[in-house]
Amino acid sequence: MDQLQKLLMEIRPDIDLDSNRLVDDGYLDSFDIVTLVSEIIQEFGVDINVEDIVPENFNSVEAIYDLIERLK
Amino acid sequence: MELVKSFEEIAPLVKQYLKVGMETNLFLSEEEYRSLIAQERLYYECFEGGILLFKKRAWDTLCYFELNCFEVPSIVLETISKIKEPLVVELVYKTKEPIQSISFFQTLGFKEVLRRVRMKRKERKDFLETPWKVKLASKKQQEAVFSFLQEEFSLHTGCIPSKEELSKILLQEKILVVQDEKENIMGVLHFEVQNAFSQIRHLAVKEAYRHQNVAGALIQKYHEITMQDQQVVWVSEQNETAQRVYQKYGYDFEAYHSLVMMRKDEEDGSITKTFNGD
Repeated sequence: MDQLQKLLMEIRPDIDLDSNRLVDDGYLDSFDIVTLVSEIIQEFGVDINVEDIVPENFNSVEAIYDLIERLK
Repeated sequence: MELVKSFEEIAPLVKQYLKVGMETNLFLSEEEYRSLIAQERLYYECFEGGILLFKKRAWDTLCYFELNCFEVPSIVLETISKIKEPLVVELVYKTKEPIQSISFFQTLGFKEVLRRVRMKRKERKDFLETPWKVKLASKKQQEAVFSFLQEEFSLHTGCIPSKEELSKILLQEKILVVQDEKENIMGVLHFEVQNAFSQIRHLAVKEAYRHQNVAGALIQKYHEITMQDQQVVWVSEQNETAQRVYQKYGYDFEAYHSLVMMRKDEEDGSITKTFNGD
């Protein structure tokens, strides 16, 4: 989880890590999500499919973490 | 260049190039892929260093890309040279220009036609009285709105919706108009709402009615409707008049930029002919 939080902070230093509306409230936009996905693939060695790239999988740190765990 | 036949065919190819260091403008959702595929409007060219997707539009073809390697392979040069209709690519970036992608498309004969910057409403200003009555456009006005957009915006860079798309937009009540006493359209504002964001997609006022605060009336009505959302708009970097209008209504510049490039046969000069600086 720490590694993921660090990644998010690098991509969006202004991010609210406690938010559960990261996409809905605009902390993460499409641009950030694609960057994040490529970083996650490299850092966590998981395969993220195009159909996994939906707002609900990126709306909170927990949701992103769950996605990574599901794909491991 | 191949027609994309199914989402299941294209998804693994797109995934293959999602790597650190890649440059992309490909942010389509699964739903958008499926809709384009069903309409047989999506093509692709896959090569060692990336993938290009081509979305057929009424007037041209829009390019999406994922690039890991920025040398142009001969297969891409060959494919692009066979495409006779205008090709448009939009590169969106934050602060730093994607110079490698720009160079890639320049090699393919694309030329810069428009630079835009995103502005966001950061301040809620007091309501300014205007004499204009703003109304939601009705389904009956579809033809008039369509003609208005075609006259006021560039076919290639203006993101003009098709008649079918416009029909849906009108049903969603996302188009505002100001009309004169004979019910001719003086100004149009088209917006969309996604998540907590709303975005002005088109705002234009007929030349004869400019400098009378028609745009201000439309913007204020739009603010009233979307008051719960974060409001953004992409404005041409050259259009200082439009930028000043938005600043007057509380908008400020963001770090997001967009560069639109286009490839077209030089003979008919349509790159410059269709770019009207909107």
